Amino acid sequence: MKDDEYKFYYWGPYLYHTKVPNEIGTEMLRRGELLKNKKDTDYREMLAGDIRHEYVFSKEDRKYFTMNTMSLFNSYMVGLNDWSHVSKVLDTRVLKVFDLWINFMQPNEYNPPHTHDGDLSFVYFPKVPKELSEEGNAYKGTGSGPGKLEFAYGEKQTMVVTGHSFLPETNDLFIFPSTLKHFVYPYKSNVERVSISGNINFEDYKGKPLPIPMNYD
Amino acid sequence: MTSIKDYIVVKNAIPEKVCKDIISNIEKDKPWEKHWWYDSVHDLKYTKKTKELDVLSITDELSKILNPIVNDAYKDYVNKFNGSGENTKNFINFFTPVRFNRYDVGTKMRKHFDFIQSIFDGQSRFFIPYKGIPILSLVGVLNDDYEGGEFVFNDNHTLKFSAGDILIFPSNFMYAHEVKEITKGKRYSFVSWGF
Repeated sequence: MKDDEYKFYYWGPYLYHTKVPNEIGTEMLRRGELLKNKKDTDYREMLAGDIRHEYVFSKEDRKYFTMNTMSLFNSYMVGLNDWSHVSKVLDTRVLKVFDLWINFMQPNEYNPPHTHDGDLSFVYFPKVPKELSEEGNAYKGTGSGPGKLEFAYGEKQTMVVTGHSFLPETNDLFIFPSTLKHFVYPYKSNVERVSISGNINFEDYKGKPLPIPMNYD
Repeated sequence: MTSIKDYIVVKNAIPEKVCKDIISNIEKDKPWEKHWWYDSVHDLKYTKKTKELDVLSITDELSKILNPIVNDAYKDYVNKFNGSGENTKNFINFFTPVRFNRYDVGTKMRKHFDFIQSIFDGQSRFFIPYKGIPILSLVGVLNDDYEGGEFVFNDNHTLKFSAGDILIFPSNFMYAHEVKEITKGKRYSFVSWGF
């Protein structure tokens, strides 16, 4: 019997899940710890979360992060282009991380449903204690469960996928359109989970150094 | 197998003091970024996950110093290979502003050739859009106090440089080249293309 032929049309936001090399997580955690003792790094007033320790990274930290993870974001753009042929991708010239912060999450803290600024956003987990996997896997309810990161796109509909949820592991990185609603459930285990988030803009290349005419004299 | 012979090395083209001053200048709080490659299928630039060198655009200040040196090196090459006819002389008209390359330990330049049409199509979105084709490639060597980092054509033709040397060779596919991984120190160089 001949297989049926069909076309399958993708729909909705492009959500990308990958891993960041461990050494980058170690360095970002080191830089993040330093923020606790600096002035003007408390970022809570700018963020949605009910999290006591949230700090904004410096320009230098953003530069380090950008230089060491840009291949992953470019990979996102390749995937997005392959998958959706979004016209904005074709106009993209430079991806710039313009906002970057770190969350030291404690038991019972959470991030309510929210969106971000910019074109792309990401959530990265450089430190996830194993106790959270155990707590998440032990959950018996019908919801997503403790410690989960959840993305929601539109209202629930029959036979339509409108969300995805994940129990993050160390080094997980999720990249998504900034307007995609997402939230993080609290957990009870007495451990600290660290996540790093940020926003990215597409920017035009501004400098256009001219070619130099040859002088044969 | 290709025959690698149509290149020149201009010895001591860059004075020692200029090399040192440039290295000192470009190490001072400059916006180095990871070297990137171009994916012509998806029209995107991307960086490999490991071993990528750092790159930096030149400033106007350093252009004033290096452009005359680069111009003269290109001229040496053109004079050597100029044809005898009216239409075969002076076969490049422009060169691109140089780009600095910085190799830390563990980084390298993967094997490639320089026939990068994407830069020279006059309408590139990701690059500075020049109009023409890359004809000559130029590498300026700013230091030699490092280990590893050998410059190799086509897997088996290795060149040894001293600080101040400038290498020029055809940009086409016959001249694939790479810089081996640095094992000690930092390697500083710059590149330009004549077109």
